[in-house]
Amino acid sequence: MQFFKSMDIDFIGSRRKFFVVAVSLLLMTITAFIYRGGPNYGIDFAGGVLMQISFRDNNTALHDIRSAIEEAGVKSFELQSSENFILIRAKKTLKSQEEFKNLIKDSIQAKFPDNPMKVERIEYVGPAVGEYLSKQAIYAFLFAFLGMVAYVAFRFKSGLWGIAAVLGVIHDIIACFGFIILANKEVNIIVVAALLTLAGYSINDTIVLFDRIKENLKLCVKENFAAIINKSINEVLVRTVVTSLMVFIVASSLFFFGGEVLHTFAYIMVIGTVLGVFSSVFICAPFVYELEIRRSNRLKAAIKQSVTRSK
Amino acid sequence: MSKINWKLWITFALLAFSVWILWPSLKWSMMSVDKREQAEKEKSPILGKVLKLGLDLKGGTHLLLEVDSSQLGGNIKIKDAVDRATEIIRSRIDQFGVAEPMIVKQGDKWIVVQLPGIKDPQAAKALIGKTALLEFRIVNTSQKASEVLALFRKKGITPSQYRENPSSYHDIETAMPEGGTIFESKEDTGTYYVLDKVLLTGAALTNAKVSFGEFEQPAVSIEFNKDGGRVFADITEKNIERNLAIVLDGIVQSAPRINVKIPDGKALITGNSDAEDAKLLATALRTGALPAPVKIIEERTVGPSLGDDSIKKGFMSSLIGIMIVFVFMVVYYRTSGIIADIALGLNLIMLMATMAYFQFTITLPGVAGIALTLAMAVDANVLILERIREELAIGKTARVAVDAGYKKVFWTIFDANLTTLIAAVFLFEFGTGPIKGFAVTLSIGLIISMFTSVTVTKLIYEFLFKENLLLKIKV
Repeated sequence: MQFFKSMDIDFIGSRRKFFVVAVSLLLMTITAFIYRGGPNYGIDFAGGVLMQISFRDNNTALHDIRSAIEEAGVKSFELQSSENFILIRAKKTLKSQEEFKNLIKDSIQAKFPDNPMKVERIEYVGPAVGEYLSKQAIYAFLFAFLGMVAYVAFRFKSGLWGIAAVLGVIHDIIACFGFIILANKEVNIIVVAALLTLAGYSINDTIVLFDRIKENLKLCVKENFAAIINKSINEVLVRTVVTSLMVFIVASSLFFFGGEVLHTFAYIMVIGTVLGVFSSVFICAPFVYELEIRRSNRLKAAIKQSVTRSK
Repeated sequence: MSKINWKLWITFALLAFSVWILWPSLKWSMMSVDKREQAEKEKSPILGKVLKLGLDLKGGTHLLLEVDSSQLGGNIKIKDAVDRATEIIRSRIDQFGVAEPMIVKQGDKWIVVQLPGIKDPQAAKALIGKTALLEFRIVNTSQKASEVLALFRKKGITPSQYRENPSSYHDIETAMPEGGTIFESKEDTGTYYVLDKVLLTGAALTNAKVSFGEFEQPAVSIEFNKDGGRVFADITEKNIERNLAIVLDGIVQSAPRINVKIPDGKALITGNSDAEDAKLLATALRTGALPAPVKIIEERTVGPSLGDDSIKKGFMSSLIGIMIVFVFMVVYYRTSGIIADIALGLNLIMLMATMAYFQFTITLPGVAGIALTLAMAVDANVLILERIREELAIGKTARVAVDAGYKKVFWTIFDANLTTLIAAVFLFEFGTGPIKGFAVTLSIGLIISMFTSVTVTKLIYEFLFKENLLLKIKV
């Protein structure tokens, strides 16, 4: 079985169209950012308390729980209900988490005396820890990017290629972030892990493509650069689609059956695998083309200049 | 024996070793809940061999504690205080009886405490966080102090009642000597002490043990660290013939009289009623007090039923995803797909065996990491097989095409895996708990896939060619 036999699509010729798509994805992120007033940072970064509770009889009305918590004197909180549990989130505005927890527990239980409540999960993150975790996340991204640029630059003996590869990754991460904000998903540590994994997979696709371009550059010296890049993209396209499909399948399975904790993680991986293919084929390769053409033009101009000067 | 056979035997040996490593985990998963609990109670050796589950899967409590450095005496180094607090918390948890707790320092003044499978996190937290601040204060015997004591007797209130709300007892507040506070005594109810400000805290103590004085009477010998010893020498010089109160958890344990200046930081507290009493005081001095209060700045508690639920969901969703990948490979690549699937299965077994052998923690994101790694491990085979297809298309024989396919894509696979590994390494370095688990499974899976998806599959092809089982290749 084979999805498609040999193909001959002119990717480089229509690179401007794909740049437009890439830029509009980035604009979407900015629009979403402004529209939503920034990302919805979870308690990992913002600090606060998260409680997951369940009742023996789960037909408890959400507004009853809301009023119970409000009566306890807690003003700013979010409620989220699912099939068999309820999540209560309160960011910042905390004096003592222990007190807060007991307050909520008691007030809810008092409202539903005949329906025993169970606290399934508690997460409390103090402000100092939130700051620390944010800093760690930024370091992780920074060092991972630097490491990737350095490695790609080393392997392809060109800083330009390294930068082109990482530009694709940064595009994927920003676009993915846009989808996170649009879906109003909470940004927590797991999101950071998903984005970094995505970065790894996205650059993976780019490297396979770059390797092929490098190989073809040696094999077909006579053809022009655009033709070589086109040929390379067409040759690795099947592989990129099949591999990404595998990751996509697993991510979808985690998304649908993995439960609440893995939900956002899987959501990012699902979107990310599609973006990863897009960026390596439509951004990184054309970018390398643009950068290399400009460099060779500059080189030609410099040669011309020195030739005229010597005359 | 030919070279291929020799390599095949090594692969089989590795597989057998992996299964042997995983055997205790398999046995464990068949055990009933009662038997598991019993094994945990008995600290059975099997516990060190089964796959280690993270708190998010097993249930339990993760705490991050901060040592409040503002309440340390001026001479005590924060590092010593945190080390001591870690030691004391460990001994308290040992008394609580948690199987395999983890207590480690993190950074300058943080302590990580992990209590897997704990039934009553509330009680554990109370025990850990109990400051029981140990203080050394001079007993104030001034005129003002005796006035205060008289007022307490007259009003019939206790010192703790007063300390809770000092502003409602205005006359006592004005009579109180500057910097002074009133405390109860451990031995005699109704005996109160007015004490001056804190001169030394428990952080300065390095040891306290029962010993015997000149006339064989039970005593407690205490030892201060260098800085503490200097302060102690100063205190004892200036306050000869006065009493030094040892305050634990807001109660005066003992108020021995200072007889002479003690220059070397080693003192003997005599005058305990009996040996038992001395022993209690020594224990209280040694482990009873954290050098400074600790504050819980992060808590993550997962109940056991939620943990079970996470295991089921994480396991099921991963299994479904991986099964589809398995089937897809066979449908799309036929025989070669089966070979790739064998490599995938081997990768899974060896990955789990590595996790069990090194006792790495498996977390819920870690389970997702296993599924993703396997999906990504297919990539190596996809790359190779697509290349073989290309080689076949230009008319090469099966054997030559396979050789060329492997040769040409090896460095591509290597590069691709290494860059993902770079991301995983930094994730591990800067990540916390569950995320670390994810980075671990991702990294190990990647490294193993270099062996299973490249070396092992090639071996299978070579074997099939040699035995003439595979003449034509269909991919």
